[in-house]
Amino acid sequence: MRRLSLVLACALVAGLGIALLVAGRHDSAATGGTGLSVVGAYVPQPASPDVAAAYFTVRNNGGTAARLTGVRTDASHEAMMHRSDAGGGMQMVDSVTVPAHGSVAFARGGLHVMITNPRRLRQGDSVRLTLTFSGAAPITVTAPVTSVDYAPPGSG
Amino acid sequence: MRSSGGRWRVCRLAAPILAVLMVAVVSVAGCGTSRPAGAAAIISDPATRSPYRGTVLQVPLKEPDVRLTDTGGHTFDLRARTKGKLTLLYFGYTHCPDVCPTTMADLAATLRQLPAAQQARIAVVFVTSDPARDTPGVIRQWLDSFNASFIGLTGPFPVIQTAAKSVGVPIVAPVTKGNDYQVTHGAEVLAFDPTDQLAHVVYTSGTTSADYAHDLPVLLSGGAS
Repeated sequence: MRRLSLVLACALVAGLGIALLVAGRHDSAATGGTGLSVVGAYVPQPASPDVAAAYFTVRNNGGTAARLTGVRTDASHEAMMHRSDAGGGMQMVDSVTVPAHGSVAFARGGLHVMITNPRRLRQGDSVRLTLTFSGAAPITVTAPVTSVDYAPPGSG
Repeated sequence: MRSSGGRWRVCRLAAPILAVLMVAVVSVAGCGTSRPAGAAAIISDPATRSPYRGTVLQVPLKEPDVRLTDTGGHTFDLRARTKGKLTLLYFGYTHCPDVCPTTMADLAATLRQLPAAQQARIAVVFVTSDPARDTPGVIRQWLDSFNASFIGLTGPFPVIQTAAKSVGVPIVAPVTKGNDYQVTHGAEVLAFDPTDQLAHVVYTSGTTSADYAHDLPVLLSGGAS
């Protein structure tokens, strides 16, 4: 009897774990219905009260290239896509092409969304990001506000 | 809105300085870090064994002889105050959304991994390239997000620019264009040896925390000399 309840308890814990994993995945990825999806979105807790950055990966499982035309956020009225360059500069990016059966990473030191004058963001908060595409429905994801020094596994 | 015009101006300024730097580079250790496009001119020889994952300079750079103002509002003589410490120097600005906080965050994460005795022998120095907005107080608050021991310096822009230029870091005076405020930051972290106060190794903005964690103990052990 004790063994059975132990097995049951283990099953319950495992089931809960799977449910949480599934829920987590659901939260971090959103699909646009045209083979486009956004995964791994996060916003490091900003060190400056005046500016934050958002990072994510756009995947395109479809057979035609997609064009990301902008990103909106509930954290501020001002968000724009930028690319940092190796020479210490930064430039605005009007649109980003996501190749068919490919992906584009907005990642540290490269493409990023600059959020100007964000609301107060602290680790544990979340930020909604809405990515707009040319010829495809917008995709909204919820990005967790991470620690200031969070780096995704395997990232630069 | 940002225009590419500003960027090209930066590049023009950067070109001669970078060219000198690049020629001085003797080797780049294979480290699995993808090098940014701008660093493609680095003359690398994967066969050359380097103890570092950073970029080794054949002609070392002298730590800038400059007096600036620290976040307490006091004069800070860079060479005098950092002598005896492995000094990691970076030029950036606090309103920078991506590279500057990422660089500071990676250095902070790296230091946390090191024994306290090693941490105590390292000085991380952030010099603003945007002194008009980066007051000592603003810099202090920003650096405290990463590590309260990081040193923050400001001063007249021409003084900062000259110091940056002396170590091959091209920064230009912030430019206001309409609503846009354009600033540049340094592209690398320079590591000055505790003893000779020369940078034998520099780190580009793509350097990972793991790379720093690999190199800093080697630098502390005098591996560069």
